[in-house]
Amino acid sequence: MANQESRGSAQEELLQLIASWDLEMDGPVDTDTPLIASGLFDSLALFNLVVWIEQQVGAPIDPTAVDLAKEWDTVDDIVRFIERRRNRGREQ
Amino acid sequence: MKGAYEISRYGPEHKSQVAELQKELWSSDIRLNTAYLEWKYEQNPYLDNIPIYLVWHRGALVAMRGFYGSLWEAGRPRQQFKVYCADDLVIAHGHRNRGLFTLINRAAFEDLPAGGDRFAITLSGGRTTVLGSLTMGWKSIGVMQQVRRESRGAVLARQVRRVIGAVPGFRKYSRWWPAPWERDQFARLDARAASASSAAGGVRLAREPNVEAMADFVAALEMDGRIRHVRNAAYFAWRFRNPMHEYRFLYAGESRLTGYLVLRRGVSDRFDQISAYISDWEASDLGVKEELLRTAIRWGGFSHMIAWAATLSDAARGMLDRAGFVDSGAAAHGMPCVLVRPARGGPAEGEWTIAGRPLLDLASWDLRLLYSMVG
Repeated sequence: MANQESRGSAQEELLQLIASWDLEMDGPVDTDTPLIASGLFDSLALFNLVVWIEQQVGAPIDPTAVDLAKEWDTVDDIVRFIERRRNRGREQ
Repeated sequence: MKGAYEISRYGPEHKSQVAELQKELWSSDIRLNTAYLEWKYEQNPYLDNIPIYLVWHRGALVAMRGFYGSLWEAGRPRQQFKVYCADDLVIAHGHRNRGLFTLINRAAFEDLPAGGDRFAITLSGGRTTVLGSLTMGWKSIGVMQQVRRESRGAVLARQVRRVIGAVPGFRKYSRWWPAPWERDQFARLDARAASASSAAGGVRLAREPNVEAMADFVAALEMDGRIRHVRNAAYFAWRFRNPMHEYRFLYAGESRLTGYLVLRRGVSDRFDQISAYISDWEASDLGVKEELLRTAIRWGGFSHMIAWAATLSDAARGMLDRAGFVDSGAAAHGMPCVLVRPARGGPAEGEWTIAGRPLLDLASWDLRLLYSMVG
């Protein structure tokens, strides 16, 4: 339950953040809207996204080691990525 | 909105507009930008076309992506490959986050003329460009493991820059603002070299490259089969005319070179003018190699020195360690890195090889800072 609340909160925060980036969008972004495969995210948006993910994870991210099109394509994907990284951090 | 953008290939009639647009990336000096454009693309020894792609919006140039030619070799016996190097991506303020990165890169790879090999490479991408590239089929071959050596003066200067950067409007400029003791470091190098005794391990300093001697020396080095730039006289003669940089050359040996070390500093106000970069470093034996490094440090007294260590030998890395070079900390973000991707019609990812060497394995590469526009 707590995990679901946390995930919902992260999704909401990220959706608000994306809305603030003044991207050229055909419609509203939802949690399953393709962001990378669709070309919606430009390099600058990706830069801002990395900064936000690093804040959420609490550690630097090496994006060259991530398959962005698979692991960060939607808000859902990104939030799942953050959860995996947090869990990995707790295990170490 | 995307329909309002048009893409075209560069022509000489666009030179002044490119120089103006590149005030956002290269330098604020249009004359310097023009000289850099001419040097990098028009005088490039490997391509007789200029694959620069321009994006226009209502008649104004708003974005650019360039590809310059490079020549590489790998394998035993040596095989040579012409490769397009992607560089110089700039998107004007007000047109970012409009999908132009994807638009211009897609158009470029659909149009790149034959003449390059099956792969393209990018050696100098900043973090933003690298991120965008990762979404378009580029993959990193690995982190270049940038190492840095700082003097006590460098630490003080960094604190000063931090204070300046806290002033609204000055943050952008404070990053590379040189403290008084960080200015004219090549002048100090020149003066100390001039007054140094000839007993300095037989090392001498020059302001101009001895391209024939350097090329002869490199040609005589054992080729281990790794993928590397072809460093011949034509390459050196072109490479060291980069107007964005100033170079100094430390040579060992008398009638024939036994080694050389190339230092460079930036002259653009958009980039680091403070650090001395080790662009290239070769020697016939480890003793000469270490003497070149020690002499550069002693004569230059640089506040910051930077090198790439990723593909150096263990012995060379040990020399850098002993000289006080430490990891710059950038590796945690995967930077700086070299990216590769297939050119048009290139092979599937499992077949990304040159001369049988897998491209995504850092051990396949012999990389120098010199190969990158950073060097």
